[in-house]
Amino acid sequence: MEQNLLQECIHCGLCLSSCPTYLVLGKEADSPRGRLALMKAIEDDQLQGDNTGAFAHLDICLGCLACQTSCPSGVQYGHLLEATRGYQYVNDRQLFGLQKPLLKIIASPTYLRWLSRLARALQLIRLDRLLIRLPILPRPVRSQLAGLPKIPPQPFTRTAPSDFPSAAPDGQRRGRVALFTGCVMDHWYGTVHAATVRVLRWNGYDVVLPVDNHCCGALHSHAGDHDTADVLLKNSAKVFDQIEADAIIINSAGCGYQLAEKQWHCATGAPVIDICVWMAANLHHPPQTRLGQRITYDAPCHLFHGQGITREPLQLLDAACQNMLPAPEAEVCCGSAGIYSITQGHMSQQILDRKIDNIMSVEPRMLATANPGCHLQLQAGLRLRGANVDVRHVVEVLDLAYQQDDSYRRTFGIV
Amino acid sequence: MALPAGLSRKLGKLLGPQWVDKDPADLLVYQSDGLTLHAATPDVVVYPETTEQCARIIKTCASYGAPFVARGAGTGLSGGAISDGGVIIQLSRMNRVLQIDHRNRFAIVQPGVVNNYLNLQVRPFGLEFAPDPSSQAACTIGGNVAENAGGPHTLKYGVTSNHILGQTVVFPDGSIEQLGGTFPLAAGPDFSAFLVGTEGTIAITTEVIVRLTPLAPSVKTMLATFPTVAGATESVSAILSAGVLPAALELIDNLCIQAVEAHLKAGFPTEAAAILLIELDGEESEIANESAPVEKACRQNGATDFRVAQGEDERQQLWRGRKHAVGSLGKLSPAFYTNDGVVPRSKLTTILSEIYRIGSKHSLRVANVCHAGDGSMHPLVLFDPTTADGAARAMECSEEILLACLEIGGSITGEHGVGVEKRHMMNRMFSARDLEHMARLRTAFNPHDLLNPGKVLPGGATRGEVKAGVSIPGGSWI
Amino acid sequence: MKHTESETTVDWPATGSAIAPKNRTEAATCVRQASIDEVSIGGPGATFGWDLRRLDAVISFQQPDMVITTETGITLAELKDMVEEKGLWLPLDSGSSSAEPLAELLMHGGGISWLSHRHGMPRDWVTGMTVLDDHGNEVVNGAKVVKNVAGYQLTPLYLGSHYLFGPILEITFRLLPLPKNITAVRLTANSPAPLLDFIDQSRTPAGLAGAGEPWEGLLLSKRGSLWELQGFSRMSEKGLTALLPTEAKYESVDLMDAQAPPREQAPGSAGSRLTLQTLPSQVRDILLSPEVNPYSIYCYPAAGIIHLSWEDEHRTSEPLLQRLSGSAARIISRQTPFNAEQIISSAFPAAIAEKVKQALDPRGVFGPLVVGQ
Repeated sequence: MEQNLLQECIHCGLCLSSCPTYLVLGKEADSPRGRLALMKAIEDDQLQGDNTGAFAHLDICLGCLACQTSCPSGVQYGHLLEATRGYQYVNDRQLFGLQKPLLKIIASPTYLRWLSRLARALQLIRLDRLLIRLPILPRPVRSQLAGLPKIPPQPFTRTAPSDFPSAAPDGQRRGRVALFTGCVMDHWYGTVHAATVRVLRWNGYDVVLPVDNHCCGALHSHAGDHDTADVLLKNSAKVFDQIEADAIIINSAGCGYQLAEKQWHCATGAPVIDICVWMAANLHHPPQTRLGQRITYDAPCHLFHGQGITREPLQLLDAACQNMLPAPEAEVCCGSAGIYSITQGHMSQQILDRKIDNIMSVEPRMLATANPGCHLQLQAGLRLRGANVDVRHVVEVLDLAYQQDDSYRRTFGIV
Repeated sequence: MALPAGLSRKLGKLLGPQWVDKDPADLLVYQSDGLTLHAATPDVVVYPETTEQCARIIKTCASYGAPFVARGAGTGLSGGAISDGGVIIQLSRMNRVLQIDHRNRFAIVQPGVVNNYLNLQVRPFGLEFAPDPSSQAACTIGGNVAENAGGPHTLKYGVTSNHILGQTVVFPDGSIEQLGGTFPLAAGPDFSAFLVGTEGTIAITTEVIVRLTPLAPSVKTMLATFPTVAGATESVSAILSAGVLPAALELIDNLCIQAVEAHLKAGFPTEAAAILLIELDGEESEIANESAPVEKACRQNGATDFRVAQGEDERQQLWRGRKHAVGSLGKLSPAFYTNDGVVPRSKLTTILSEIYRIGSKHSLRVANVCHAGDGSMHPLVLFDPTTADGAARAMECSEEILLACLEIGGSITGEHGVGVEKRHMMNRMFSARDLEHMARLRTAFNPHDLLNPGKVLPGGATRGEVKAGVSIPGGSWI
Repeated sequence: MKHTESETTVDWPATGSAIAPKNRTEAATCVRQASIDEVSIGGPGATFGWDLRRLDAVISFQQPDMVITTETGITLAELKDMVEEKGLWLPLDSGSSSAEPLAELLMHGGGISWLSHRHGMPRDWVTGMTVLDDHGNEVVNGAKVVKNVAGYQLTPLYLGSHYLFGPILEITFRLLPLPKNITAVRLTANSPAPLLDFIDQSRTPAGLAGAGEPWEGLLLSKRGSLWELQGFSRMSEKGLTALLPTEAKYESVDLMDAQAPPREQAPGSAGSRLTLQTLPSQVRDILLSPEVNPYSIYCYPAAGIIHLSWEDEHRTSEPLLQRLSGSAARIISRQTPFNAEQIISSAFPAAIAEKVKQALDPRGVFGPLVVGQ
């Protein structure tokens, strides 16, 4: 591992209070500064060859990168963590029993399809509702079930045409963008894709959908499975090689971070831009009426800390809602962190509890976020709490604001 | 030092085994606080949640004769929260704000509450907890009390001791005492006030009643650029002599500016020998009255540029540059050593030229950020930790700087405390009699020296030797 | 009093009178001799008191350093005159007799004044001191610079200690620039209510930005049936006027610009006195209660200090005390208006006081610690 990068930590501790696991546990070993010390201890073999204790603390790191935001010295924590986990992934394959099969499912469209069908079947016979209420089931499992969106019969890209023309109210066409449809987003969050497409078209953009675009390998990278991640990144680049577009729009913060971090690009050189950033800059037809209900925003870590996209989502929500109320600790992780919510379910739920407390302190009717993992986790936390709060992607909120306008609904055939 | 058998088992019974850490990986991370030149490993770390638990832990430790140290966020810069063997009582779980009374301007908090967190809670009432050490994003109120923390805005608003109304404490014999209360003033002797700044060597604070201060209705932040360091230091005196009391008056020298601009781009002029960051607060007419004399004082002392921050964003950017100045130094040097001397305000020019002279004598670069309005210096000695004597030379240079501060009537520490770091310098500042007088109180309340041994005062029991020689010295908030 | 004729260098005066050393050496000699002669000097119950008026040297005063170090025999008024002449300010007022030396003010817990809600108490302004220990040695604590955390700061134990741990011979205060463009205000009314409304209104933060603390000094008093509010502020006359409610509930309003902050004028003497301390939010309740009606009132409303006095020695304060028993108020003094009588308080419980006394003066050279009243 890079000894030099570890040296950049000056041990100041400014990161402590930004770390979700430290906030819950209050233990130095579960803080970023502590974990950097442990990485160094592993590196220098200070623990007499037994690194299990140290790895336990690295395992419950969410990789939320809040510490990077608060670090005055610019320590590249995320990079160091992934490097350590890579070392761990290679050297200790049995670390989580669940991690590898899960990553395999996500990496394969076929497996993911089967998983989705299973979930859909559960939902159709309403077994999921029952299971959520079964106290003997571990809470992390109930949480996953509670958070799942209504799974559509088909992935979004299977049902949608591959090319959408712009549909601006003034008839002006402003450009052409491609949508990075991804894996979980495509299989489970087709509604977000649909909203994304509508909002782009309404503002004057043609939207192209790629064929056979799948996982970007973000979760694999976070877990230290760099080989699989590389393959997935390469595959997704090929998909876009033939597509002419001004930009590749992405509506999942985690994937956006992965692509930016790995300096991913396709042959055309089209830049990858998060939907929030794109729309904040290109909101040519802001909604005429803003939504009235109280809404709050929870910042996805890979958007806020990973990519430094902090203002754009708020700008869009401002354009879409009259009653935006900031909740405390909105930039602290919700505990989803990819498959962390499964592999470290107990910790994840503790972090989620704190998150839901904070969200409910402003009593919102709707909660906006911008990443599928957070979407699922937050919805789960709210449902298990019995709170009637609708979780939506920022672009969905924008879409909802537009839907108050008849001509928008007519244009896109929404009844 | 080996821990008495049975102690950690008893502690486990008290708190539940998950709140008693004793594995090597768990202990290793407690080797240092913000100062990594001194390192020591505890035997056990415990995480109490209540005052009563603290008292029981302390009684248990005392019955085994095991030393114990209270620790907050470990952002201290003098090694005050390290423990060579013994038990660290980590207070991070005691992190609740118990009461906010905005009408009477006080709050009751647990010691593990982060300074910034408290401020977020009270700001909606137009109030703040005034001490603002640059570590305020992470440091705890308990730590602020122990160290009598300062910060840039203490020039106008005073240090922590001016903002503590009362405390609940546990003494080394395990007795709990509530000191002071919610009344804004205490006329007689005030033991709670005495405890502020005793660095956790007399009692452990488990609850604090803090004074809250109204936020100023408006703020104006200015940046003055100087081609010479002396121009900047002379301006400090000139501003204060003009009858203006800025909320903050900070000096940053060229080397530090370079680091900030290389890393953060706060908008500091890289060609300046030094800049002053001046903040006025108060009612608008008051600020308006004060701005002109400030600008005049700077211009008369050779300021080449005088800029007023336009809008909150630019203001935040300037402060971010200031508060992260030391952290940015990591970009210029793999290691640096943070000092904390104080001089009389009129001696700023003298001490800075002395600091540069001492630095070049040791062939070391020294960067400076100071709370200039208070005469509170933070010379940062840059060094190479990979050479055999890098750290030793930096410490030697630093010691010489502190002696220079003493020579012109100053102090060896204005904010960071004595801890283990400056214990050996206490007899350069105080006579044996002065120190004996202080030690009488430690002996009275901490007779077996079990609570935070080997800190603050020279002499007394030192348990084990504090190890030097960790490669990354730290410290970023000053 | 036991006298050892041969060795003594001190001629002890009559028991109960004050020792008035002409310099610090003499003060130290007295302490040494006292321990030999088994007499005590200082606290309540000691054989002798201290009168340090002759220790009146200014040790150092560098205007640009904004600190002053003096011996404690000079008065606060003298000290303030000296620093104000150089454009500096010590934001403390004695609120009591201006002839009293600093030592008395500091040792008796004085210095609570109309400035206290904003500027605190003497201990908030002391950076260092020199005291005599129980062996008659001069001991330095703190420093002569404005920021210093080297070692323990003993000032909070010595101030208000009634000489119980020894006398403070020398003291260093940090100073502020003398505020310029002060606006002073005086309102009078027939009832305290409108004046209290005005205070509340001016001190309630308006929204997120906060209102700051507009008042440097704030004093509410009642003589006869007329209530008077005196205050001064750094705000402009315009800013202060804007805070005045428009209804003409006031008998008179005086607003004036002043160059330097005014000093608090101590009230005239009265027969009996009682000083209460309470939370600022409860001041209104107490002042509006019928039980306080017979008294002259002198109150620092923002600091929660209410001083009551009455001419008639025989008047009973029972009804008032009864009313207070259920509230958060406490009596801090029954005699002198601005000094704390008791050493023991919630901030300095008896058990702790005994330990401190045992540590700093085990032989009782500075008199016995009397716990309880």
